[in-house]
Amino acid sequence: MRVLIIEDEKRLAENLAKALREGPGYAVDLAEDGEIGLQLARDGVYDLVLLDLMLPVLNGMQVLSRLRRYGERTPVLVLTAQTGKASVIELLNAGADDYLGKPFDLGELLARIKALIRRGKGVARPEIHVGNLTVDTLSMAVLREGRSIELSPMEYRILEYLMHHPGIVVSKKELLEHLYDYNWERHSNVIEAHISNLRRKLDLGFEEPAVETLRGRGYRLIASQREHRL
Amino acid sequence: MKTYSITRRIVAVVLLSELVLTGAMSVAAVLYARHQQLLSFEVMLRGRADSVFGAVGDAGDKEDTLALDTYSLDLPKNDVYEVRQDHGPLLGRSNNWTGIPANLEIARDNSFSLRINGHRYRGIVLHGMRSVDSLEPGGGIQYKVTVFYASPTRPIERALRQSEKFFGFIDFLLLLGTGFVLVLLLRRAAQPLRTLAASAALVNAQSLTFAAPEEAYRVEELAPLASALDTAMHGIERAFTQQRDFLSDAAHELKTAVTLVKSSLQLLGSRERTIREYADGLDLCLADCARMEELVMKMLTLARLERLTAIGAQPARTLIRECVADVVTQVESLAQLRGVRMDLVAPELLAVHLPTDDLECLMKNLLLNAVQHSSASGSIRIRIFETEEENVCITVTDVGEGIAPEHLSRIFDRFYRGDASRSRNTGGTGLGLAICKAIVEAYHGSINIESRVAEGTTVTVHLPKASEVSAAKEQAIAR
Repeated sequence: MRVLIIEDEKRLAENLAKALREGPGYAVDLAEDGEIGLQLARDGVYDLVLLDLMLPVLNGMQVLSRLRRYGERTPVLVLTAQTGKASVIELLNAGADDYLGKPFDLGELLARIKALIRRGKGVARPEIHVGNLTVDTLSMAVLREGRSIELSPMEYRILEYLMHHPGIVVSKKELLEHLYDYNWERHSNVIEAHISNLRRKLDLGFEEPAVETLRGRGYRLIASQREHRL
Repeated sequence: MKTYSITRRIVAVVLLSELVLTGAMSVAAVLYARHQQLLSFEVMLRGRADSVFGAVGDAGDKEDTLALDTYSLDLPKNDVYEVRQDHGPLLGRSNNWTGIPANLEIARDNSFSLRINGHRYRGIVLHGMRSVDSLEPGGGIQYKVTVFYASPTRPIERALRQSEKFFGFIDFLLLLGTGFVLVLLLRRAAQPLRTLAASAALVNAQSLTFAAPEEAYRVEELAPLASALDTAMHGIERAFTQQRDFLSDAAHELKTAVTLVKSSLQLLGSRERTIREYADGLDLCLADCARMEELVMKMLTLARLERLTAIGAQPARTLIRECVADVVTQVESLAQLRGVRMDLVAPELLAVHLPTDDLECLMKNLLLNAVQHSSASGSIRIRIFETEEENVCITVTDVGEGIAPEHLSRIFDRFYRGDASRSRNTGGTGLGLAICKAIVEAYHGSINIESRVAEGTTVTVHLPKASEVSAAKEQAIAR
């Protein structure tokens, strides 16, 4: 998952980025003012935008309304110092999906971010089931037919992204866009290496492959495996 | 407190003066009517007395005496008369009279008044000559005859009373009519006042917006009040808006600062870390706390300056060169770190009306800004001189990135950050220039900023000049 933080207080933005990278293991980009933030958010590669209200150049409200006017559907969580009813109503009506008043609790912020991303993908519970695979997005545990599988953080992120798009071909480019922020060196063979490790770990002891490779097109999580739901 | 109504007062004054006027006119009219009535009464009396006199004639007897022929007289039945021959007999008298009372007083114009059966009468005395057998040789005999004739005055009095009543009634109608019209007119005239009061009543703590209605401005007497209200309310509204904006900005800044410290600590505690990581994290937290402290101190400074502006600053004097040189020394180390030179030119003895602390605070903010926005190895020029208008002028010029014109107009606003990279990254609170402006304005000076992008910025401060002799003395005493 990839999150955009639009916040002009640099130290706070860094703290949030660190928390998101260390916790759920998201890729994070930072924007220091509303204009840059709006440009980045329009790329459409983000799974969530974290937006501060008081920003230079364009304020948070302007960023939000323009983003929605462009038809961008990315979930937006607003960080605001004003938690008066009127401003909250205005925010939500302008297209915000949620808000959190400053000073907030880091744990609550992370939980809200995860919930919004989940909702954005059409999933209600923190655990995702596809075929005989189960991913718990809170503890980052992966199970196949009840058997626990240990994954590296990057392998986990790839799997989580694929779990959100079961049966759909996900291109290498898409994976790169959603799993890496701009500060990373992006090479498609890095993805290939991670995918091959992931497949090896997932398929160990199973006959059918969990992830299918479609040459030149991308990867697909096979959703039609024999159902083995809990 | 007793209240009173201007409308009622005006109505009372107008009606009272009108009452006096119409009263006087009515009295004059009644008096004139009375005079006319009396005049015609007199004429009537004289006419009737004449006809009585005409009825005196030869009695036709041998002694050639006079007699009164009452048969030919046709007189009102209430009138009384008596005819006498001088030094002779009573010639005749009306039947309804007992005769002239003994004490009858006759005025010079031959008129008299008397009472008969309780009624007032007014009469005249007519003297005349009558001759008997005037056709005879020798001219006959001449008799002096006096006629007393009186008529009751009741008809005149009745007429006068009626005209009095008529005038009184007219007066009453006039007063009633004008009073009614006056009240209507005054009510209409007071309408703009009521409209103004109604729009003023809409102002409350939640909504301070006020605009005096157009019709209040059209009334000459009301226009000053309307414009005074407009000005006052605009000032209050602006002050309130500024205060509210400042509060909300301050809340945002403080909450952000608290959020930062809190998130840093939560992040630090979110997982097991090395001692090195903990130490670094705590250092960062400490730095964040220091920034928060700076923010709070600056906000308090602003609040203090605001109070100072409101209540008026205490007079104080500071020798400017000494003070600015101190600040230059304080900022020197930071300037050297960035490779920036500072160059101060100031006259030896020049004083300003400013306490040393505030002058120091002002200069420190200006110099720190200049250092932070100077290009490396640039130089900052500080010039202090006396202007022709007996002011002290301070200019601080840096060679550096400059400020874009769109940010320049708002650069003195509190918490204004035109460009995120400009102040946040240099650790600014967005309050430095706002504080400078507040200091300068609290001491009746002015501050201006000029800038060209990629060339540099000049801040110009004008401050009222103080007498340097007393300033030197004060500082010597202070030491």
